Amino acid sequence: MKGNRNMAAAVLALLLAASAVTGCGGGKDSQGQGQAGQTQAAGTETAGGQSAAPEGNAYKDEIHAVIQSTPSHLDIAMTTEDVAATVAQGTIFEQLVAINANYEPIPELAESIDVNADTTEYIYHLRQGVKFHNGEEMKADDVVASMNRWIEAASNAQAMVGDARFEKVDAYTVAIRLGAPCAYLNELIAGLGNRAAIMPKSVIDAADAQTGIVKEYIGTGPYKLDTWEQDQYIRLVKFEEYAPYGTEGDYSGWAGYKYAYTPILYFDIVTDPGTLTAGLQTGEYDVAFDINYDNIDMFKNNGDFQVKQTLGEEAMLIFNKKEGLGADEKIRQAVQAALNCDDIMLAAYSKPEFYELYGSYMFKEQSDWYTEEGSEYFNAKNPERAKELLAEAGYNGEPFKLLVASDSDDFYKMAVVVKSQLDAAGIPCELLTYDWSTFVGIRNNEPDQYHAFITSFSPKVIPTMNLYLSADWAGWCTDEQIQEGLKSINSDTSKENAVKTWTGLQGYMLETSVPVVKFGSNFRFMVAKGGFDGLEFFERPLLINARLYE
Amino acid sequence: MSEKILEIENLSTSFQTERGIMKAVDGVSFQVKKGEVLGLVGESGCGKSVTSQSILRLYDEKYTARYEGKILFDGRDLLALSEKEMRKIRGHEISMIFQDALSSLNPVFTIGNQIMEPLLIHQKLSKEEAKKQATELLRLVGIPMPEKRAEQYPHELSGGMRQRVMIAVALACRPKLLIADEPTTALDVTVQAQIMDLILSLNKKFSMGVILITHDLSVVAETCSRVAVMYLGQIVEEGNVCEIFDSPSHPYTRGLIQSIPRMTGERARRLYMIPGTVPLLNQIPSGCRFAPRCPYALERCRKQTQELLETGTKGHRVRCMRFTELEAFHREKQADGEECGI
Amino acid sequence: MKKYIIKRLLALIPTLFVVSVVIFSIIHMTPGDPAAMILGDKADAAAVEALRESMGLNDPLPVQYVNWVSRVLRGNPGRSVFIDKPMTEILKDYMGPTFALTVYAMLLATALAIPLGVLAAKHRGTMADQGISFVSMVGISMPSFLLGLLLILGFAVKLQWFPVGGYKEFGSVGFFVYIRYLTLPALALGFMEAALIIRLTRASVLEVLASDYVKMAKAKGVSEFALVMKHAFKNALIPILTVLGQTFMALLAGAAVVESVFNIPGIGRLTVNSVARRDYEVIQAVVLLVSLINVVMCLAVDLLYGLVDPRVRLED
Repeated sequence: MKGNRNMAAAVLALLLAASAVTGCGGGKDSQGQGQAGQTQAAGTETAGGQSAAPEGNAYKDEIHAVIQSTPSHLDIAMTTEDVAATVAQGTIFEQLVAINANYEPIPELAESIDVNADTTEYIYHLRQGVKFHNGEEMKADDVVASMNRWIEAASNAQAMVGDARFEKVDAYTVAIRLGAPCAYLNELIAGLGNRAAIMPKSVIDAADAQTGIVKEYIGTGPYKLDTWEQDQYIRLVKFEEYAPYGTEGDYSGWAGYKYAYTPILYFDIVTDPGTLTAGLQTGEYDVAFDINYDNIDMFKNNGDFQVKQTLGEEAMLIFNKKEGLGADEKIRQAVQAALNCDDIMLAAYSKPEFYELYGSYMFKEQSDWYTEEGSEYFNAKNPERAKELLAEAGYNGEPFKLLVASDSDDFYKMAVVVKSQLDAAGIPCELLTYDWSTFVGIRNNEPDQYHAFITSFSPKVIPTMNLYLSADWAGWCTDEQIQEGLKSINSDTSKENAVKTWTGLQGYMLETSVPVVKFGSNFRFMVAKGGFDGLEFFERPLLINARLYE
Repeated sequence: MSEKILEIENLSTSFQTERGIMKAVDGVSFQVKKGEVLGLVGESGCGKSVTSQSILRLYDEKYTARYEGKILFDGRDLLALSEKEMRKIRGHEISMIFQDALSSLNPVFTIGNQIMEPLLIHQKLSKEEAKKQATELLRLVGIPMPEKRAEQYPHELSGGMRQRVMIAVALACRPKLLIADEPTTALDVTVQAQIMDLILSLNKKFSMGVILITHDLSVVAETCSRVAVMYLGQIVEEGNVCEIFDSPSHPYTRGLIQSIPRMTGERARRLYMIPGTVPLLNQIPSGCRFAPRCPYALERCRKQTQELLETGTKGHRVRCMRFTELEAFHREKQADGEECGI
Repeated sequence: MKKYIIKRLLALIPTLFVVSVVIFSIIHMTPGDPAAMILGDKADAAAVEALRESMGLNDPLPVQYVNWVSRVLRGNPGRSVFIDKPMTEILKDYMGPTFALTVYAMLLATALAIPLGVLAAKHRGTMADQGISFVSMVGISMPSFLLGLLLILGFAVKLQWFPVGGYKEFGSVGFFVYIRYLTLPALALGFMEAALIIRLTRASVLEVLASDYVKMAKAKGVSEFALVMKHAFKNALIPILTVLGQTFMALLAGAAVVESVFNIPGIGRLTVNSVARRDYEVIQAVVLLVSLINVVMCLAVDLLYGLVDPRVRLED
């Protein structure tokens, strides 16, 4: 019996020892101090002629920004994920052209651009001496590889350029020759969801064979990726060999002079909103965005914090026009007529000051394209008219299946209100709620399961980039009139003409075709410590030039 | 004439329960002399275990039990002692053994450990000394290979051996009084005999007083010098064993003796049973507690509280106001040759 | 004894096999796929489909299962689509914090709960007992995330004794900072289990105190203290030990919630994130690992049980 006891004790000790080893293992934080950056003391001169901090104030070495989910990866050419762009665009990666606050494309990695008269040929003269994070110099081969890869990944890009691809002209020049006039290629390059990030050809060639994602994130931007502790934080450090473009302080939107004033940038991943708010209050985090709408006032009223606001996204219900109830134009008109967008937006965002209601698909801030054509059909709140339309359509009472993702709190709330409104208008509505991944799976692959879904879209530089008008994306907007209209806009060299076409198209869409029902657009809020300099918030938080006082 | 070691005067033990206060022992008095074996008999629930556990004050006095009366041991009233002083008595001057040896021995400690415990507590021996003595005690109670047994656990021994171990534990400090609460009830007949022999031999060897609690009258007849019969918390008869068995005065005692199955006589005769059942402690009849079941009960039995009365024979007392009449009645019937059925 | 342990370990094989089939089927038959997660919501269907094809996700399920299992048996536990590290390193990295958290929570829970339970039993019916029972009632009723948020509010935001969340490596910050980061989460995680252990201990001790051997020990002249701490305690511990094994597994599972609230990069968070992004091989590997831990834990508890209670024989 004694022998058995000793055996048992030995095995137990072994188990405990094993646990101790795994508990203390890891070797994660092995980078050590890394760039233990210097505070920019008065009088130091660094590359790019950056000026010293104001007298007496020292800046912090690191900024802690919070993101609320882990990006799947940082290959922003291959994904439209917002959080990936927040971390990597402009910081790690740069583009040939970038968007400024007026939604105009500004040359970034291209020093100058030549476009021929009928916009069938674009020639990009690249900046020289631009270094990648791995030490290589950016040359035409890299640009060609990156741009063509980008075209392959984005259907909107393919729609615009067709079979044309970028070609190398010489070491610092690339060109693309298009089959048909393409008036907005630079807008596309600057503003598309899949980012036209420039990466070294060697990195692209070494991308994962199965998934196509690059294995290293090497860009030309002022920051490089230092460590990514999965689910904890992503740490960027200043790229010493970066030479900013233009004059200091001349920065607008996502374009212009960029410099890593703060040598270390942390993107802390905090998934729980309660923890996030608490962390902001205790000062553990410096800046956060998309915090709960309920908490915004608390920070607005607190002098230690600044709250910035920017354009959010437009929320809409998109019909499945491939099959089922959503394929019937009259039914789509009926649904649009029945809905009361005031109630829908209020339910999702709780206060009128957090959103705007108007029918234009392009945002007010995009004054070129904003139009009120057809607005009388927006937010009609007219259940009687809906009933008329349903009768005309010969509606048989089939339940209207609305697909929504449960993880998105605001969309879910909208869906609930939509359901009650449709029920009251004589369209029995069934909500299909799933987790995000299932939602995407069903939305893309099982159109026989639903009639519409709810999602939102960020502002696009040109209306043809709106995904919900695409014939290939979910919703399947195959209406010939719409597709013809979009094509003609893309190849119209006269902006005035293009705007006219768009205005007419919007009228047609709101009155007749109704491919989607827009609810409204919201504002995004960023909360940051009061002592920030150079912190921008344009659609997404921009930390490029940010500095935080001690 | 040997001296008294234990004298119980009017002991009452009541318990606080959900159903109110239950008096399990009501005015019990008896004595035990040095070296004497006193039998305490009665049916289940009559209060014999409660009496014995009251002597050692084993019940929880904070919330549950209340004692009244006097328990004089060695000149001191045990009920008046502090808990600390009481602990010095338990396992040392007075020891107790229980009915179920398996549940009374701690399953996670060795036999040796459990025997050593009272030695370590009361006699402040060193561990080695205590171990030696424990082994001796095992030998004393007749367990072969005591060194080996001392390292074993209770569940590894047979029932009889466990009971011997209990006795060894009880005897460790050579107590003056041993209370044996139904020590053989759970054992086979052959083992019973061995255990009783052991107890008796130890009783003689160490002049240790024994209170033997049992419901088995045959055991009492063989081992005890005196016996007290309890019913519903009271002593209803007490006296010499021979006296009680030859001429029981209380109808209950008669009934008990009649209930013993006989080896001789007609096989066809039914076993005798005292009619009725023992009432609950909160439904104690007024007057004579046995009256509802007594074939001789009269009105005055039910009306008057019965006291323990002297019978005339030395040391023989009975709690029945009709005992003289009944004695005469039974003598007549015996003379007539009728069988004594009560 | 050796045979016993070997037998138990061999029983792992069929268990893991069944688990592997079940988890593989469940996640592969759920709609949603990693390709869509990689390319993002606004990617077009053709691109997603092409990616699925190249990742082998369109192969028939049994083929995919066999591919996976044969890789595992050859020593390659799989690949994460989203985390660029070998699977063993991923599991080790994430298991570390969770294990530390779970062990810490269990230590806190038992260190607090067992004495409180014994106290409640000893002073049954008094204010102390009722107070302890009340506290344990609260513990059982309160979900861990709520408790976690309250702890953060009280101790991290108001009193600032502890950080709001996050995790620091033992190697880089030393013991005290390491523990500081884990204390509030361990409390939130362990509180419910502590409440259960209090109740169990109290009941167990009460039952044992009413037993015959405790009565006998009293009859031997054993002191009040020794009655409870020596005679009763060891016996009362036996049912508690059996529960400790389950407690550990419950804590391991509950860690997912606490990890989300306190931002700890543990196996629970990994699982939740992997499920959300359909990182199949990670989910499968984690489930197998946890099953393994479960079986080993049961074995450990049984061995411990055999150590404490001599009546238990560790054979078949």
